[in-house]
Amino acid sequence: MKKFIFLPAGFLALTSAAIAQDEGLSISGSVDTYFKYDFSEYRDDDGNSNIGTSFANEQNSISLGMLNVVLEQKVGKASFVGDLAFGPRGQDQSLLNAGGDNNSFHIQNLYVNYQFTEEFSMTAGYMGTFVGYEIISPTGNFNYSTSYLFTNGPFQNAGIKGEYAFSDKVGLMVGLFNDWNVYQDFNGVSDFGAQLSLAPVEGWEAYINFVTGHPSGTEIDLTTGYQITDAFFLGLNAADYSAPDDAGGFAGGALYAQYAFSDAFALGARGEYFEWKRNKVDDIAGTSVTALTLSGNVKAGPLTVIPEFRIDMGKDEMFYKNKQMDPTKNASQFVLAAVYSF
Amino acid sequence: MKIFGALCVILFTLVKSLQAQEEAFFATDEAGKYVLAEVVDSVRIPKEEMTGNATLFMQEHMQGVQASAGDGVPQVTATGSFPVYKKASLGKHQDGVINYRLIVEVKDNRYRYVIRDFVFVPYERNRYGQFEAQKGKDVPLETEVSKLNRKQWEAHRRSAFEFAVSLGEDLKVCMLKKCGTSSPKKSKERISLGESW
Repeated sequence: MKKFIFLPAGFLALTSAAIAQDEGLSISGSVDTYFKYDFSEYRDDDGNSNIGTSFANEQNSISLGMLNVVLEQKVGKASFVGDLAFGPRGQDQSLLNAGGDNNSFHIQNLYVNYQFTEEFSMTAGYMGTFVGYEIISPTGNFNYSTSYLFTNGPFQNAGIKGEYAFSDKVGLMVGLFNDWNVYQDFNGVSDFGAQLSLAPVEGWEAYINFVTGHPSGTEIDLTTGYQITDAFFLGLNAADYSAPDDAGGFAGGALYAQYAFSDAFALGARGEYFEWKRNKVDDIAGTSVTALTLSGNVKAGPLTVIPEFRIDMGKDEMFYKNKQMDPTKNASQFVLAAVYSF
Repeated sequence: MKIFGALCVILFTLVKSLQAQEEAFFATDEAGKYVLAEVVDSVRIPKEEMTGNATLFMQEHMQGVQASAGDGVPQVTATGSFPVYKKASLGKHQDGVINYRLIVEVKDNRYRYVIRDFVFVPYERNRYGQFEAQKGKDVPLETEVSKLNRKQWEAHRRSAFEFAVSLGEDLKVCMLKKCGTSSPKKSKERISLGESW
């Protein structure tokens, strides 16, 4: 027998499209912590080990990621986001450091947005970069350690941008930005950035990104992901960067494959090839590395536990195989991380 | 003593009422899909007018409104969505949206509405700190989840049921009269505050 409860007419919450209308202040964020063990047991004076990609770098220590607090509000057509991070991942490891002492907080996003029409909006302020696949927040990455492409690309771009949605399948962003990863541009804001976004079919999104300026350099990047089935996801990131005045650069590609066995457990693999270009200015030869990462995501409500194995294989002897610092081409590590999202 | 007894009766009635409310939930169809349906009869307005009122209601609040007549029974369908939230101790933010479909079928002096096809689309925070839909990760509300994630999932199911009941009640009001911004508005009443009163 059908049972209903009677609610007064007019109790209707929202039956219109799911775009958030006027909302109160939204507070969200995350907390993360990790343990990392480099099998060589090598550790430098700063406590870091072989694999030098961003975050998860402290050897054999229960280490801190960051506390990330995000404030957001939308009233009518105007909105803002204020996104702060505290802790090693959010402070000096995210490059910028407000206090200059490696212990200050870090701004991840600080911007205002105005939605002129359903298709067109403008945003101004300090924003997470539009370039690349991985991001600073651990809630946005499947793997806990990051790729070389992420580490060597921009983290944030301050600037002003306009975005236009031609349809639900095609969009374009163009903007004027400061140099990479700075609050203030002492060269005059002059970096140009653009993004073409495509959604060919349901579940497949692709972004072609371009950013250029001096002295930041020029990067072109492809980021794409396809939720092929409910359980299987495939992602790809490829990029090429050139520093100005023949001062080197990088190029590389990373493939991401993830399979969700249930809502509580997923397994993901990342395979990356990364190449440092020759730096003609300082006469530094280029080299390359291949990195293979296998990560699990165990989800319990807002908590995600990430066990991870990683092996990096360099073209040259770029790592140390023991505490005595004997050189080797390979490095491997285990990470166990916990990320709480609220 | 009498007052104490009366208070006990009131308290007992309230508890039983709340328990009854907690038990109310979606019915399921032959395929095990959640459905909220009701037949409303003894409606003393023409079939065409009911169909028009249903169409107007859906056009005001939903998308993809379609009219058809299967087996000679006029039918209006539309899809809609509503947000669901994840409550935190300091505030709440959107956890996703639930999409649904509303079907209204009309016969002489009665109609039936069916709300069904509930699908949860999760949201995730992007690189700009904003929550956006995770494309291609739709989850039908009937899906069973692991024990680790059941609490939030049950909360979303409850939100969907309460929304559907409320939607049905609003629909019933609007089936009897034209609702919405496109319907004729009453002119504002004017009164005189002059001497003669």
